[in-house]
Amino acid sequence: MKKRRRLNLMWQRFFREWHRRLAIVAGSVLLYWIVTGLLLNHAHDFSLDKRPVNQGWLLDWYDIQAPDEIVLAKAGELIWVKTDDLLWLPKQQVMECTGRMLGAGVMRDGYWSICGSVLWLFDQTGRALEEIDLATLLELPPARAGSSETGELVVETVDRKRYFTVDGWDWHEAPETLPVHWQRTYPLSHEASTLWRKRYRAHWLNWARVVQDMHSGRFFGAFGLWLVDIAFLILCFTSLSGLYLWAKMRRP
Amino acid sequence: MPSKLVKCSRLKRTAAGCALAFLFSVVTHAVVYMTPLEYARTVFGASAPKSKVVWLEGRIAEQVKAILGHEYPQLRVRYWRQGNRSVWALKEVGKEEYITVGITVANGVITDVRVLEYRESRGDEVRHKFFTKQFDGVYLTQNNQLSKHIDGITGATLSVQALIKVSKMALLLDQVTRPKP
Repeated sequence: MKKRRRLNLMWQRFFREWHRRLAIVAGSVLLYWIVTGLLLNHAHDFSLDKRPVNQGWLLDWYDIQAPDEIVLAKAGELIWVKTDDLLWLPKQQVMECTGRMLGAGVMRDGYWSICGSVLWLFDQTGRALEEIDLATLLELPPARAGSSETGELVVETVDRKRYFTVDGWDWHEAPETLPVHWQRTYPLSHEASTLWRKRYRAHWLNWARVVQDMHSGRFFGAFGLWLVDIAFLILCFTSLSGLYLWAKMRRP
Repeated sequence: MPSKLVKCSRLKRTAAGCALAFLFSVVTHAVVYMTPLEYARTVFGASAPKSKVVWLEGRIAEQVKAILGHEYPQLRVRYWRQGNRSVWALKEVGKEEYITVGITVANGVITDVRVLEYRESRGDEVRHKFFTKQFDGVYLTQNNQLSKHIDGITGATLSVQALIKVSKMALLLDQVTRPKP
């Protein structure tokens, strides 16, 4: 009987001691989960999914690298910037483009830009009208592009054949003598390049993603996942030890 | 919004960093199954009709916005029509990337849905026939809803939503461009 009582007291002391110690850890973890969980639940309300991460150290942490290639195309007042595989259109739209940026130019009622085999048409204010894949309209890929004096888009394919169009869909072979103002891309100044490098990196990461990763523990990598598992076990222990101690305290 | 393959350099990063980058990496598979013109040719044959455009302005733009929950990224949409049959190639963001979908509408009813281009890293089950055949025979109700419930796919919820939205949009645009009797 005495032995059993001594054992009970020993268990009580063990639980009381470790319950207090681990409760501090569990409380801190719980608070962390509550804060990140609340942020995650209201990510849309706080526009976290639309807020790019501009913090360099965080982008480094995610190993998001700056683009190797940054080129500019311009037509009238509008500019197009290509950063690696992204093409930034005049009205903040971002499109994927894995090919070479041929340039941008003026058309009869607006503007055009060609990146890879994709032709974009824009209205006079720079709003995107249409995206057209030239791969199925021209027999060979475009090598260079420009505008004619009468405002048609002229494309020269890799076999040096020239075609012109007004609407981007109906193409007609153009004579070699047709005067064309060929377009090209331009390098950016050092300051502008630095800005676009930052912008490009920030494009790939938003705050909703960071909070989600923090909440799940993935932010700290494989170690973070283990940390979350351990925190769960600690929470389980403190819940059970709390119940045990409460039950013991109720007894006279 | 397009996404990026997070690169990992073993020499520069620690093993933990690599594990982290691996966990975060989102591999973009930009797969082009068919171009819009090729899709139109599969529907109409080699002698596909000349394409036309519908401008997304005024009332049409408002209705499209109501369906998609945002403005369409282009001011005009290209389509092919022969009699009461029209073919559309529309795009909508799934989770982060655009999905381009080809839709054939005949007499106001969908007869074919096909994923033409898929860029998302996950959820490409929507391109399979077992899913797209659900759209066959679906039409637009008075309040711009599909006449039939489309079953979702676990893990591809946003891609499914994108296909539902563009299907509604195609049916709406078919209505407004249909020649009046």
